[in-house]
Amino acid sequence: MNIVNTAILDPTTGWLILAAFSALWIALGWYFGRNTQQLDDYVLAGRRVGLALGTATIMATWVTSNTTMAAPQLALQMGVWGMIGYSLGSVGLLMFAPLARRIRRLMPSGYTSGDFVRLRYGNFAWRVFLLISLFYSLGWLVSMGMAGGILIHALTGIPYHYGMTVILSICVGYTLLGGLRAVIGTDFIQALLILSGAVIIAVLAIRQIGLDTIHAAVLAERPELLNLLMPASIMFLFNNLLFGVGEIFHSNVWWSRAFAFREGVGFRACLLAGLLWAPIPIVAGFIALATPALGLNVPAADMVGPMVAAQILGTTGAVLVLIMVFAALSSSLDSLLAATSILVVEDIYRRHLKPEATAVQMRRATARIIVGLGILTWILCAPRLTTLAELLYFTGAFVASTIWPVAAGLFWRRANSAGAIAGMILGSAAGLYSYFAVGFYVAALVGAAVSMTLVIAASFLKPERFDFGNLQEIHPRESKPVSGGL
Amino acid sequence: MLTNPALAGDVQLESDTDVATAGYFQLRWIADSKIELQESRSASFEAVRVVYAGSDAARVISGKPDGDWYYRAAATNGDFSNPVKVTVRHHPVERALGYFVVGLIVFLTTLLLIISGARDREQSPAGLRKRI
Repeated sequence: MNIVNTAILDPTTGWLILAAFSALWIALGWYFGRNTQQLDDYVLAGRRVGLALGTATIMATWVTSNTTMAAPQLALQMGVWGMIGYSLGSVGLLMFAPLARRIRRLMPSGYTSGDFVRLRYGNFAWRVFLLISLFYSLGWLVSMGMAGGILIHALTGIPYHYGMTVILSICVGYTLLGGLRAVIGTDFIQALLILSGAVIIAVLAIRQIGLDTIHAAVLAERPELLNLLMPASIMFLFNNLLFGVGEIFHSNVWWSRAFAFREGVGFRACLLAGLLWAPIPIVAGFIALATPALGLNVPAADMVGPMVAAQILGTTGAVLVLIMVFAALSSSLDSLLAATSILVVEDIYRRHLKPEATAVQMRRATARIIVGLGILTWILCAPRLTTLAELLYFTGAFVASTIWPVAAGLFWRRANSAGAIAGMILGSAAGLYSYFAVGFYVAALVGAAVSMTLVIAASFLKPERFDFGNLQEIHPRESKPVSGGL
Repeated sequence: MLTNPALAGDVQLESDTDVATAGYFQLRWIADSKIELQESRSASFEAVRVVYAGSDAARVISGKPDGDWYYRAAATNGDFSNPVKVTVRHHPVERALGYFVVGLIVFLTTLLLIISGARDREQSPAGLRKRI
């Protein structure tokens, strides 16, 4: 498991950074937990978010630690189309623009994506959808935990399990103390750091090494990375596009943002954010292509981003990279823990087990679920079964199968629940099969294609005549999600 | 999961796959000292190229064209590891284009659904109520 023996920083420095960071993060969690008027609450509760802030929050949410680790990995494995393919994840944002408008119009009181599926297709479809959502969330949690361990091992040589344990412990602590709503402020800071960091490193790489040298080195050592007809990377293009669409269309993180915007803002904010985000993975991916020119050894593909960045910036820069990427990972992990615990508490605990749960019971359940999720994530992270991108695209088989049930559910009254259920189940199964039979770079594509076919076929065989007005008649939820410190 | 384990002296070399369909694979080794990772196009290692020398314990090889690639790790004391063969066999371009076309169709059809659904007033609750 320990494959880096030439890390740029020594383990002592690594431990010092981790200790200081842990103390800071827990302190922040405690501080935000005391603060009842959180920025996130203010922004989302007002439902009056304007274009500038709206665009910024969308971009901040879509720029995650994967931009620093998975995007470079894909460039190292898939080459030029890997970089460009990753940026096609912005298409999900662009396509969500009309959905955001539609969601807001059909359900002005504001609902979760799960509530929509339940109202549109019934309880069984809702449960299938919930399972997919949970699975996706868990996959992300594991990828974040893994990323923490990988990052620390890559830059300091500290064994993977220690780094992974530290990041999970910090984030469980932060989420328990800081409350269930991810603070949008940290999203902003994280996005800003990653954006500026990626640009600075790319510029430095070009200035220190030179584009010609980078190009020549890749051509000599890893020539197929520059081949625009490399088959796997061609297959990857629409796979990543559809993965991004599936992620956004199904996730309540995006649905809740649609509800937060002022009338008319959501559409433009999504468009703008999508266009602004698209170049970022290309810049981050480009960094990976400097590997041959630097003469750097990359022991595992998901380490390449931080390793190249640290190499270009030197030892001091490596410290900065470690702190920045660790902060980004922690911020993403906190948000994920919060969002996943809300999903479990609301849709499983309250709706299935204890409909009359009091606020105190909800709070207690939430705390236990957060800890439980942390433990489960640790158990799944421990064996380090695969690389980051390959784990993420495993969840792609599932989320891409929800694209047509969600989109057709919103825009096509013929879409029926049989098609939605078959689409999600069989789409996921087909995607999963193709993941192992062909490669991780086709799973989402196959899942989406099979799902679409089934939804369309079922809707023509037995067309529904759904009245979208039904979505407007349901009362808003009586109990608000638990917020604040626990 | 690693395949191809075999023992030879103090150095052991493994690959994570025997057949690489996307031109990338990971080589891992166990050694007591620094090693030199050698690559050759022939099983007899007639002509070798040193791809890595150092004390890390793995390397990602990527961007390889089709063909058989042979690797061995040499320890500082001159011992060689077991040889490892990885066959790079990219997917046929036709298959790749097939997936591309399927992806394009799914994307365009989804786009069509959203655009036409957003435009069609009959899909709106108000429109529906008016018709009835």
